[in-house]
Order: sequence, then C-alpha cells, then structure tokens
Amino acid sequence: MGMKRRGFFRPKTCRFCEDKNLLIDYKELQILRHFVTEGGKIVPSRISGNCAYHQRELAGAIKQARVMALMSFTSGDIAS
Amino acid sequence: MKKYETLFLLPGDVTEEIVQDVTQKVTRLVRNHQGHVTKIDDWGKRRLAYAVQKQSRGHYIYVLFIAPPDLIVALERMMRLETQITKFHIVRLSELLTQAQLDQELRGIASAEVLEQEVSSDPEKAEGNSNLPLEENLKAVANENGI
Repeated sequence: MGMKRRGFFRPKTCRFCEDKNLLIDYKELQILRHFVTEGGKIVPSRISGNCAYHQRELAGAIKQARVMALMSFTSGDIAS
Repeated sequence: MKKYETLFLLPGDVTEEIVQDVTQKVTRLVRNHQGHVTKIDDWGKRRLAYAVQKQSRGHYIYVLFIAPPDLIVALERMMRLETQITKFHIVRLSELLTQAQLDQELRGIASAEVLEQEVSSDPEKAEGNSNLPLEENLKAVANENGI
C-alpha cells in the first residue's frame, strides 16, 4: 500500500525567515552557494526548506549572479 | 533621485589604465546627470564561472551611486557601446528619495570621504576594507551606505 513512501522530509523552517539579517543578494556568493547543487542547479524549496517568497528571491539572485559570471549555469561550465 | 548600484565586467587582460578610463567614463556620466557617486569598489580580477570572451578571468568594478532615473537609459546605452565592458548589471536600490533622504545620503558621502582622508593618513587603519574576504567587504560597503 504505502510502500512508495519516500521523501526527503524537510519540515525545516526557512533560513531567511529565521534570520532576517541574511541578505539575499546576487553578490553574496557564500550564501547563494548553499542553495545550489554540485551541478550548479538551484535547489528546490522542498529540499532547502525555504518559504515561497524567499525561494523566489533566492532564485532570482542566483540567476543574476549567473549572468554576471559569478556563478555557473551548469557544472560543465568550468572556465577553460 | 534614486539609489542604484552597478557591477560591470572588463576582460581579464585589461591594463590599469583601461580600468581607470572606463570607471571614469561611468562616473562622469553619473555626474553629468546631476548624480552622485557614493562608492567605487574595484573587485579586481576574479576567476569567472564560465568563459566570457574566451577568457577565464575578468576584472569586476562595482559602483554605488545616486542619480535621477533618466540616467539609467543613458548609462545602459553607454555600457552596451563600450567595447571594454563585457557584462554589466544595474540594480535599483531605493525608491525616489525625498529631499531629506537625499541630504542624509549626501552627508553620509561627505563624512565617508572625510573618514577616508583620516584613514589614509594613518597607515594602520589604511588597510580599510580591501583585505577582508569579499563577503565581509560587501557587507561593510552595504553598512557604510546604510543599506
């Protein structure tokens, strides 16, 4: 019956809601890196536990950082 | 007048001259539109996440400024035309400032300049922000500017 019960359970709270001082900014690479996979993909909020609002802000910031070559689009992007 | 920041990228092999030249073009444009440059932060050469114009390193420059909104169109156009600027990003940091807020910002700039004078005369303090890791440096910049 319920054999297919899998799931990375993430009842965690949103990191940014917890700590209002954590600034989501395309320049804050140290923070942004936490929310990106090895392959450079953005981590979904069901894994990271981010609330919808902050997840959107975060995704936007990551994309901005990518455009400015501060973060890569994909793992194959390693600069020559 | 609104607060803006811009980050632009020059090729990795630019000379100091070109860096200064481009930076001055930008600041001059801001001033021509009755704007004020709040902070110029030269991040220097960094490794890029991916090759831009076949290079793996680039020179980043960050400028904080306050200007009327009509500057932005001109600034963007100038950056697109400038061959040395390979990437740029302009962000609006505030809504329209009231005169009072503007005065406060300008006072902040003036006192920051005074502080810099003091700092440069005292060699111990002269390290300033530039030796901190990037994140802290940015936070320091943000704090200084009341963001």
